[in-house]
Amino acid sequence: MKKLNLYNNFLIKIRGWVSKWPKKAVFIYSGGMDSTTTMAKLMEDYGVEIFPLFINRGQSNVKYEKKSALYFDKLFSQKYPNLYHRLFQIDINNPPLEIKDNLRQYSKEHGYPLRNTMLQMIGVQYAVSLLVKNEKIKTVFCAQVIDDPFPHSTLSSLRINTMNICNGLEEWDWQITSPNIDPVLIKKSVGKVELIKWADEHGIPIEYTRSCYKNSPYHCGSCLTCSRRKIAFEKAGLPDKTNYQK
Amino acid sequence: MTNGKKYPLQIFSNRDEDPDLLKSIENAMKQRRGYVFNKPINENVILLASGGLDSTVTVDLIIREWNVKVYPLFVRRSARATVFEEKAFDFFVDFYKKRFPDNFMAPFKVEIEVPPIAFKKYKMTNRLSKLGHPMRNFTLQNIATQYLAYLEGTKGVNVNTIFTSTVGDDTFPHSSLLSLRIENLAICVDSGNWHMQLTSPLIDTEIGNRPLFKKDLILYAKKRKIPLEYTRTCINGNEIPDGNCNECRERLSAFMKAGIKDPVQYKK
Repeated sequence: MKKLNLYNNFLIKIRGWVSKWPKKAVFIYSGGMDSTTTMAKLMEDYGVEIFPLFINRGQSNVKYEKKSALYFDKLFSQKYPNLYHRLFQIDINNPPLEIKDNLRQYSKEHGYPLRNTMLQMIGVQYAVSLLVKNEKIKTVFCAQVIDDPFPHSTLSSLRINTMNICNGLEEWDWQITSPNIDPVLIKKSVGKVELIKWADEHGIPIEYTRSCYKNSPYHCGSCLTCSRRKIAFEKAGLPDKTNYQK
Repeated sequence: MTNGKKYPLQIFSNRDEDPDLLKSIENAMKQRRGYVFNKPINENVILLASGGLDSTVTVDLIIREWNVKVYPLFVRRSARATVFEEKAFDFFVDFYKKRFPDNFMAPFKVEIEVPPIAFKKYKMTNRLSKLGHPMRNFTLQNIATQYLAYLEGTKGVNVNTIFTSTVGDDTFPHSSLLSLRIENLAICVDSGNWHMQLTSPLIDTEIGNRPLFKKDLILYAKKRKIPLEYTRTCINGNEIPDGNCNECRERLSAFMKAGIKDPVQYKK
């Protein structure tokens, strides 16, 4: 908390604010349950105009993540025609393949080092590239939730990445944050359970989202992400319609 | 800083930086780990090397100063001059393997577009010349951090230090000491490893007699007989450096300040 205050104070000293609701934002979109629901929530509840970015970062389940992302791309373009821009896709290995192939074991305990940070930086690069279309976007949203386990999924990480990007571009109106865990934006942190309930109330068919890491059309039902998904549905007290392997 | 305030030059920087902000980041590091930067004497370090003048000279300098073992990392980042940068890098791999056989370790190369080519197509030349490609250096530094995890996780090589070769003359905002400190904090927070340090041994004021400028590196190279004619500075995609891009002009200006003729053959 002490460190978090340091980052907040740093931002306040320079620009007078920590986070604020934007009109437009680039959104790092994976086709997963958290990012799908968060993106819908941003448009539905807060009226934020969304520029979604899907990054093929060399993940083993990319075919199925992309399938989910394209499903919701179509759905949201119909449901939120004035707020949703069509999905931009990019292929970039993160971490680079030469490193990643040897880090699979490490990643099970720690996650891939700086993976999220790198994705957020690509989000910033996308936002900068949109300047030529006269889209002035200085917010990159991601969908970290309160239950995410890795150090690069914390609010501290998002704050320091905001500082890093502002300082690196010498433009102090950038913000990188998650509307699920940023206390400046929302009163109470949001986890998977709350997102599932919200999706249910708003008719978002999250059974078409993809959580499982594995390269299979089904959710395996036993990997870390599948387990977290199952538990969250149980806690939410709602039926889990995910297509798990029998 | 962009708040319009002019600060006294109490710290070294190529920017008009607020010394209090730098101090606050450094204090956070001191509180957490007791130091801002520890000289990595006799330790392993990763060096982001590009085949350019600055990183090439840095190899020699850090080995002689601290007897470090250098793990050089080259990123094929799809820049126009990448092929010539790699040629220069390869030349100096051979050179330093012979010069420092116990200290210069096997090079490692990775391929990744920085920034992604899809985003490089915009033609905002003013913005580019003022700011460089957005997040380019940070991305390279993050890749070095991933390489650090790779070395530790798969080779059992313990590395806590990543070096870039930012010099005193570098002008982009991401080349300042404050920028390096924030990035250092970021990699510590993101990895959960507070022993990690990321800095440039050429400008870090925690080290005595810093900052160093290109001119100083050129004089150092002359003294240590480092053949700078094999380094690559020009960012354009022709084998013969044009002598006209910003990078070539900065290099030529530094040679002039050093009172030495640049041995590189430029386009007529």
